[in-house]
Amino acid sequence: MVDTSDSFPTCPPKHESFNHRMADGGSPRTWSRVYGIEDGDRRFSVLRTYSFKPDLPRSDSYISIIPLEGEGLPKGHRKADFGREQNTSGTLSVLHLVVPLFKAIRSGNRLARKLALMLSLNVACSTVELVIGLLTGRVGLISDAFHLTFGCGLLTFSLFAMSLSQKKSDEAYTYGYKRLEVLAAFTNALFLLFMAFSLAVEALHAFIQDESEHKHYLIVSAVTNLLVNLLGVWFFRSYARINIAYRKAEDMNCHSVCLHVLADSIRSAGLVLASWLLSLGIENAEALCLGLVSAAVFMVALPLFRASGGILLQKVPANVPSSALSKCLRQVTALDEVSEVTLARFWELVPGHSIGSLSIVVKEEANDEAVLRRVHELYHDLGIQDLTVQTNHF
Amino acid sequence: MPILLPFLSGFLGFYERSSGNASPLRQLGKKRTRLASLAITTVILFIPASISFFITVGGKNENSVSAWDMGWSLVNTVLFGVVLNENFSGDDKVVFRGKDINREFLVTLFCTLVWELVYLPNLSLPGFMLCGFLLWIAVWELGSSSLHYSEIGSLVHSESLYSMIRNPIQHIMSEKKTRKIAFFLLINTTYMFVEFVAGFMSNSLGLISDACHMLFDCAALAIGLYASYISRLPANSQFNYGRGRFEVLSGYANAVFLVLVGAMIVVESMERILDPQEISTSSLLAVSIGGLLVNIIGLVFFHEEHHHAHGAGGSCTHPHIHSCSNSHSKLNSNANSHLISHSHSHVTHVHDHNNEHSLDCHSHSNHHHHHHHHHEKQNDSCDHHKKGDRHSHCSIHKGNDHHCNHEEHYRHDHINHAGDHNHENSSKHNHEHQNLLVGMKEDSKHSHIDHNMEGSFLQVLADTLGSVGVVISTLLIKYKGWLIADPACSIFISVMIISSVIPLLRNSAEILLHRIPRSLEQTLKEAIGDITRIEGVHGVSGVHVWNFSNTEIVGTVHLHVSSEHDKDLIKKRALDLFQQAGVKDIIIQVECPR
Repeated sequence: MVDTSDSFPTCPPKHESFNHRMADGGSPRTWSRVYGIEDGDRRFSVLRTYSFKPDLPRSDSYISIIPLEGEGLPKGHRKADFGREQNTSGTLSVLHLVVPLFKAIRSGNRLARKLALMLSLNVACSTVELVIGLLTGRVGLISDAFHLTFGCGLLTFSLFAMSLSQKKSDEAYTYGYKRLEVLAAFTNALFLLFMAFSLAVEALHAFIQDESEHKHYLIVSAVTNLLVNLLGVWFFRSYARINIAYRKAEDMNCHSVCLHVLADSIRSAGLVLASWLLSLGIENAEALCLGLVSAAVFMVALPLFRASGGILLQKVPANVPSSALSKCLRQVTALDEVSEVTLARFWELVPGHSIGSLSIVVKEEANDEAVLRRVHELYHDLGIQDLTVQTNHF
Repeated sequence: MPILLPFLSGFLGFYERSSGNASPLRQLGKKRTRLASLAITTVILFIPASISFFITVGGKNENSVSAWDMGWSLVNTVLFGVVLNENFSGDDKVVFRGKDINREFLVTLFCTLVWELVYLPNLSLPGFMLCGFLLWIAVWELGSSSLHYSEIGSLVHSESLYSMIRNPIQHIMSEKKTRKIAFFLLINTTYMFVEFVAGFMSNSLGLISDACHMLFDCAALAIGLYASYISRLPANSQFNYGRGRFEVLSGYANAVFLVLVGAMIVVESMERILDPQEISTSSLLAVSIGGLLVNIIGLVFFHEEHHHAHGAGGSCTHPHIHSCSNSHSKLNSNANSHLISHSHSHVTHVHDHNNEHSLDCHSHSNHHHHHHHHHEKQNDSCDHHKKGDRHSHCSIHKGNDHHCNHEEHYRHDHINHAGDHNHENSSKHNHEHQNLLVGMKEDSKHSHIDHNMEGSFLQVLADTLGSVGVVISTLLIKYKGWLIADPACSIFISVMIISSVIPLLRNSAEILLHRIPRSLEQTLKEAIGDITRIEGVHGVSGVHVWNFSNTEIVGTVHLHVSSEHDKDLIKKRALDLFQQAGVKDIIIQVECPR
């Protein structure tokens, strides 16, 4: 790697170029202590898998100095890990989709492998249900199998996002593919909201129609579903909370997967509870249980929906308090050489990686270099690593 | 009536808590305040308890249980009052956090539920729902008034429920276009209820699924309206770039929902195939035709909208320019009109471009001129969004229901797009030629779909198709008795819906992932090449260009410049080059590496 300023958390950053990034382990701690967030705040103590190695996604594309034959094409890839997949025409063929998937499963992190395992388990379950349902002609089993398949489809998307996010940035996607994880988390949250909604509709249906046709065989499938989903929750147990402070990109994705599995298990549990209550003789138990489950799933999915939606909507970084941002702004304006700041915008690419762009007006005689360096330092303390500053002289 | 008791107690408890922060009471000391309030609560609750007791006693006719009953209801109320009060944690903290409110809301609800289950074997669900809803509103109102806890330096003020509802409605009513859509939403909702009832009574899957789909349609329209309201709000400290992205996000959400709904319909159809049920077709036909009419009205509204915007723009003409070079003449006729290009072969439309090609429309609020060539094939109408050489949108080629979308923006002052819709490669070359020929500032921006409206529109369209399908299947059932027609039509229609949604999905996902806008790929490469050829520029790094919303493109770039040259001049030149390429909003950092 060209950028030699990637360093361990203890070294001060070198100022060779302005693209230096401090290691992730360093920055969040300093500002969190400065701005008074207690260390005992459990939401910030997250994962066992969190590593302190410097995580440096080199997402820039650097154009060489000498243009070759008149075309200075940006060279996207630093390491040709995943093959030279130049997607200039824009069509991702199926092979491109499947190959990174298998690569990730074989070499990827533990969570991806666990997800793949759970996925295959789900698929097996649903096929078994489908076959049994077709053979015996029980409709309920078939519809249940299909519902399971939907969940699988969504989990496949998450797995795909997990595997694809390792790719380096290329020509078309200048920031890399990490945002796909956030998108997958958002889609999962949407699906959960949709599920909550459809459960509510089912509850209404059961309430109005009042037919308590009691399908006993469905309980077996519900219990199996519950067991499989609980296994999934166990796999992702470090993410099994409703409100999590997201540190890395894959946090969101894994959290969404965990919530998905959790919601599924809540639904199966609700079905089992409904049939038990029905056997106790309480009328409208089905409607009640389904309604409760739908409300629970809705409330579980809402924080994730908000957080991932906030990132996708280019909100200011959630882990930087807005008072800190305004304080930095005041500090920049207070610099001698700066007369005013015309534009300051910040957003989050993925949780933990914030990007900003500033446009400042600098006095005539000022030394641009020094001003740039100072501004970069100021925002670096805040955790904003990618900053683009435009200095105007008027 | 019996439901009210825990509700009341919870409310009282909450009120007591929030009023306990008032200073005169503080002097009494916390414990005494609590005791006093507990006593007051018990007394107050005693009244409804005794009332309910008297009511139940009136129903029964024994005296032996009277004391027991009365005591029981009293104990209940006291229990609930105490339980609810005890939930207020942390007496020392004066500040009320949002979590507390949620928690006590949950507890209240849960207590109500348990109480009801114990007492009444028949759960009156609507009453429960109503109670829960009222409680939620009350909690929110009280909570928002007592949460003065905001960060220093942040300008976010929490809005009360009332203002949150009022603002969008005000905004929607203020514009003619959105007013129509809101009106259509209203019609849709009422008709949906009608369809639901009819579907349940006649047990037809087609009707029920169509009604469900109408439900999603209304939700999508509502989301669309809300998003169009929100995306106009100015940028603030939370959203530094403004809120234009809401539209893209809502388009994406709509697309995902459509896919899910389609899949659900397929599943249910398969279920029905295997387990056919009896369907009575008596009232079916009337209701389904009514549904179709409502949907067609909706489509007409959508069309009328952009038609009106078209007409209201003033000098809105449809120049039929058949060759590219003639568009020069169009360039200087700059009126601030919104010329939207569209082409459709819809029967109710005045503009019937069957074989004629190339509509040009443009005008930019910034007085830039766009070239826009639209070639239309015989029966298909396509629009916008051309990716490479592929056809991306409007893939519903069915009968005479073609719709093309217009890049409709609800803002009056906004650009509508421009771009090259080229279905033949040759015209693309012509276009580019023209760019070089003319040599003036041209934004060959791609035509931008308004994702928001696109999503809503697709929902309405899918709904129409659903209605058509239901009508056809009803006819088939009635006259031919093919019961399988119902699910088969549903499957067919949902497959079509899903396939039409995929382009929207892909496009909005690309925007959300910060991909380089497809229209700019080529021009951007050239611009970067030009920039590297400027004297003094060593290199360019960190080129990031992405779509903020359909129409805004943002970029950042780092330039490495040698120190002897005039940085300002180089920066200005680079800025010009980028703006010519179409990226208006670009931040350039100039560095002098040593």
